[in-house]
Amino acid sequence: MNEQLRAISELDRVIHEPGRLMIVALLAGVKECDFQFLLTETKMSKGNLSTHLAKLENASYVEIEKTYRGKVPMTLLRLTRAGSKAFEEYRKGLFAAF
Amino acid sequence: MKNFITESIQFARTIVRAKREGRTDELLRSLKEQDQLRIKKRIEIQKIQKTMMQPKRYETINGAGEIGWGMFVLCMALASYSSVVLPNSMQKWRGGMGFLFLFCGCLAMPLCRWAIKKFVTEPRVGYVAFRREKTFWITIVTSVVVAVGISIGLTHLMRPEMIKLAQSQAHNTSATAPVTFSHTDKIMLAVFIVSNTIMYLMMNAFSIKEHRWKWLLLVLITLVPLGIYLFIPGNFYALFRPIGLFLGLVWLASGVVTLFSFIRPYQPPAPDAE
Repeated sequence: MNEQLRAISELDRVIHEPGRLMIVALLAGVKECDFQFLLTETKMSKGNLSTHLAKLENASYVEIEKTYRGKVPMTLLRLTRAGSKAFEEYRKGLFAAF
Repeated sequence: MKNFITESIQFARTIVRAKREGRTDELLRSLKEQDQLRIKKRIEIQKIQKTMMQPKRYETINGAGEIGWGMFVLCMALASYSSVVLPNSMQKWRGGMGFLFLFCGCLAMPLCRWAIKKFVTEPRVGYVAFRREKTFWITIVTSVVVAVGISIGLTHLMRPEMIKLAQSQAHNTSATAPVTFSHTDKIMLAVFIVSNTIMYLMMNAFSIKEHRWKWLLLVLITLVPLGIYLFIPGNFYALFRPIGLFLGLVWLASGVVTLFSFIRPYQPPAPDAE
């Protein structure tokens, strides 16, 4: 039981938060997507999603690219190498906890 | 395995010790709590995996693949029909029409996917690009190799009948082939029905769980061609025309219904107020 607790406590806190975990899991399954796609999939509010993305960007887990598609602004999001590695380790940690 | 054995031994020892010390109830309670925690975490792991797989459903959920494939099969059947329906006086048109239908059929699949993605899916759910990993390319290459192998095998098997059919058409004896259902026809039929069923299941891997009527269509697209071949006299080539027409229309209808059922819950977001 103590080992389990230790394993759980060692999990990455940035990813462990449910909202951010969902974002990272979604981004791990795709090459890249835009803000609208994450909004549809997570069903979060725009503000909430922006806050989570900013935290993930600060941790260098997510790369945010502001671009245009024709004349429409578009925010492209992709998981960085560090983000992929952290998510993989998080999953391993979660498995190890049991 | 080693961990499991060690854990089992430890578990047995703990039970013996707890019984000896008269702490059975306490032990059972703690085990129950541990189990509940384990189950909860297992559900969490499954949820993560499900979330990771979630975007993949957008590759097939909009019915683009079904519409494209339906158009392709329909064009193939129409190309085949054009060579029979058009009179001899329009012989020049036969080849041209057939080629036009084949050309449209080949373009239908990528065009439908591109158009539906650009004008229907992306404005509603947003832009997403999928990662093509090594396994994807291995699957594609293996599928192509298997398909080419089957095609070469079938062509080799059908060669005598194709020559006979070409000769009968050259002598203008009959536009259709003999009415016997040969061994080759049976193999062709089996390959056609199995591949058609697999295609339908692959394209509806996600949406078939939502739309139960697709199971009925699956049965229909498997049994109707089989029934036609069994009960109507003719060979594979002659019967491919009505069957192709039927399958094309069914695929197309299934794709259109899927597209509309996708559009309904996903409305494009309202533009932000200036």
